Amino acid sequence: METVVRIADIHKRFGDQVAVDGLSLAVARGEVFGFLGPNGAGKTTSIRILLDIMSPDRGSVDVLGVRSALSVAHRIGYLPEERGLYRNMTAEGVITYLARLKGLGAREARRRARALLERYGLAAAARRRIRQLSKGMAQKVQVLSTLAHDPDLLILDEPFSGLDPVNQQVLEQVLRDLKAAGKTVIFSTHVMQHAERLCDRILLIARGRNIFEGSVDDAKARLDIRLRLRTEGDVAPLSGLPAIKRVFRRSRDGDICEWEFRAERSLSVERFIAACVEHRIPIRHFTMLEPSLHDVFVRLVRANDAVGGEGS
Amino acid sequence: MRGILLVASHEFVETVRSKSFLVSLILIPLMLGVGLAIPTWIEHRTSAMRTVAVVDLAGGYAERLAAAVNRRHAREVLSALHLYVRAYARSDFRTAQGLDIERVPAILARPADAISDAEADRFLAAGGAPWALELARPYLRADAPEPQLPPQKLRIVPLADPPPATVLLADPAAALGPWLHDGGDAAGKTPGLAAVILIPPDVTGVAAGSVAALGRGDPRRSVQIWSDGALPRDMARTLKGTLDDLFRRDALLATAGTRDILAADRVRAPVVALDISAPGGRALTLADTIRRILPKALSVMLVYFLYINMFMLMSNTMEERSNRIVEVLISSITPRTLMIGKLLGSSLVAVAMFGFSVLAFFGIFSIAGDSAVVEFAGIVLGILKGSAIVPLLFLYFVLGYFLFAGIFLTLGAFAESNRDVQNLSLPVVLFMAMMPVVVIAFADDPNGTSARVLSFLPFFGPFMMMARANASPPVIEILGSVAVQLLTILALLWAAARVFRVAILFSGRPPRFRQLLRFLRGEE
Repeated sequence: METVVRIADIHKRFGDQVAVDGLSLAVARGEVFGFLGPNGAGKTTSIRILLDIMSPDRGSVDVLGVRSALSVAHRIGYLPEERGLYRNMTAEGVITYLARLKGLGAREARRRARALLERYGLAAAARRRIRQLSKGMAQKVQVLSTLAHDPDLLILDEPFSGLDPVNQQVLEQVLRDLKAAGKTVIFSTHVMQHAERLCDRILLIARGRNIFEGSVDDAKARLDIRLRLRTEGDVAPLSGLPAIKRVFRRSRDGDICEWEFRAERSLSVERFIAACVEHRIPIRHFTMLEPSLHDVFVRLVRANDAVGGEGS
Repeated sequence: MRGILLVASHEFVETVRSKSFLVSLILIPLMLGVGLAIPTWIEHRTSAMRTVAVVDLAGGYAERLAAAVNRRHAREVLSALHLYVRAYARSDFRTAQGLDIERVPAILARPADAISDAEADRFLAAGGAPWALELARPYLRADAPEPQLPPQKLRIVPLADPPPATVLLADPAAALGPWLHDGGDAAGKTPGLAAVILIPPDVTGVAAGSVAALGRGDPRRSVQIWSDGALPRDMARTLKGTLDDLFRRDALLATAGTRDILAADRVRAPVVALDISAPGGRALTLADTIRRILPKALSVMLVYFLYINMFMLMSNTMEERSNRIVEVLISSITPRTLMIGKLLGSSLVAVAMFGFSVLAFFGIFSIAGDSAVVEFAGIVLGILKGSAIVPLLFLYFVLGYFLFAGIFLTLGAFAESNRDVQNLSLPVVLFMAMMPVVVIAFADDPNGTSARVLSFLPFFGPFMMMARANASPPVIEILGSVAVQLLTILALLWAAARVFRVAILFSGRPPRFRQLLRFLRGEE
């Protein structure tokens, strides 16, 4: 599949502070790519370098086949983390102006602005000034302004921050629509649920360094699976199963205890159940817990911090 | 280029639609008026004692003119003293209506127009202001401050060793030249003469409103006031008023008891002001005065215009930075494109504001319908049409604009709030505020060393050259000054572009000087 964004070993330093430290990534056409990391990890700086708003100290960037994103700016839509619009302009005026900066003619830009506002329920606000809109509506207008020129690549920096749950759902739907239309989307976030629901692949960075790149399933595979078994029997025989790494009791209610097993992903659940039957362990309740992306995120970031802390 | 034009048109349209622009449109004509008034006010405030010599070929006018001028000043002093006594009189010399005029000396108790010539002469003979002040002291409160009495600004003396009358009448400019050129110093004549009044033998009063009374009559039959350059306005007003009084009084005496006395009351002096340096001693007119003041006023106006436009440019940039839309903009166009577009757009705003203000200025005069005001506006238009002032004004405006625009744009790019705008721009604003003072101070000698040096200094050049516009500075000086300013602009815009690129994404407190140097080197 064609690679539309490739970043190779970029470094960026502000004075004594290292913002990006040898980051690399590749995003294929049509992917929804999550750019994840804690606050201060270097996501925004990396995005600015990607967009050629900043220059890297070292390393190279290739966007839509060119070295400078500015030369293909008309094919890119960008939503920055810190948002704002011209407060005295109308919603339609702002979208039209920004679309014109992306290369559209005045008439076409206005037509698309109206169509987008109508499609996402803001037709009545089209002629109202931004300062007269609610914060949520203004944020919607800003998201729409990144779409008006029908870009091939969308780069959204923390697009969900500040949105209420309803608007978060609307934005998720927008992203799904874009994916369905074959667009490539890169978005940064530190809210893992959005990434888990939307991303084909993710890149996790911390302290400016790449600590994981792959699919959400690949990320989850980094953590053990958890099995919870409620029983009044002795579970000691189960701890000897090949993939089981650790067993501990979570709670006790009379004779009944709840046990948690940490196991490698190679563990066969059928084999586990069969072992219970074989060792006459009565199963009152059984649950298998997949690790969430949030768990992966926390684990990997802490591990990276520990390494960084040791190193520092 | 498309990006530049889009940003420029956006900047123009959004600024022109803003409230601050509309407010500026109202304020600017007012400020223009103030700009015109400032040189006059300074002239009025700073004028020292001037000596005017008289050659009285008609006989009987010189001494009376000197006495009348002295009485005029006596009345000004007594009028100020009257107000002072009214304000600081002891309570036992007051009544419910104010000053107790029965118990206070009459000369202190009446306004200037009620003081007779005899009383004014008594005041002068007794010693003038010090005498009157001593007279007033017993009636004043103990805590009365020292009074501020108007100083004497004009003295009339006979011209010492004047040329023969025939010589004077044949070619007064040549005959009086030695007394007036360079203040008379060069020819060893009476130094410090501000003017010489030549009263021809057959001069007579004329009707009020006539051509001669308005200063446009035949000089040979008029009182000629000769000076080197235009007469200061306050002096011209005093001389004309005093001469009018003399001629009216003569006419009244001559017609006493006859029906002609009514017409005599409307008699005025035929006075014509003439410039000894002008070819043929051309008469000085209102146009001369305006021509003298106009460049200074336009120079002051330039500073006002620039300040207003710089403030709008800086505020707009601050808004784009503080609401973060600038990051979207520079993901579509380069910071350099954004900067040039904004400079272009805001310069168009400035030109629009300038054009509107000029139209409003003359429009207001036309609507006012006052003949004197319309005449004034017509003269200004005539001067503007018949000289290089308008193209020079445009040139210096553009130079001044781009000298400051890069600085204000960059400062705006560092500002997060209006407070930042004020703090960051304060040093530059103070510098701009100093400009009119400097220009007015040095423009009185437009081709003097100070004015010429200032013309070549960066930032000062456009304003100083504008103030010198009617003094015909050498072309080489105009070109040199423009070259210096252009080089300064190029350097400033180069630096501004480098700093602007970093400034618009800069977060935290405004940078220190060392950081600015780093930005100039292209580091972030």
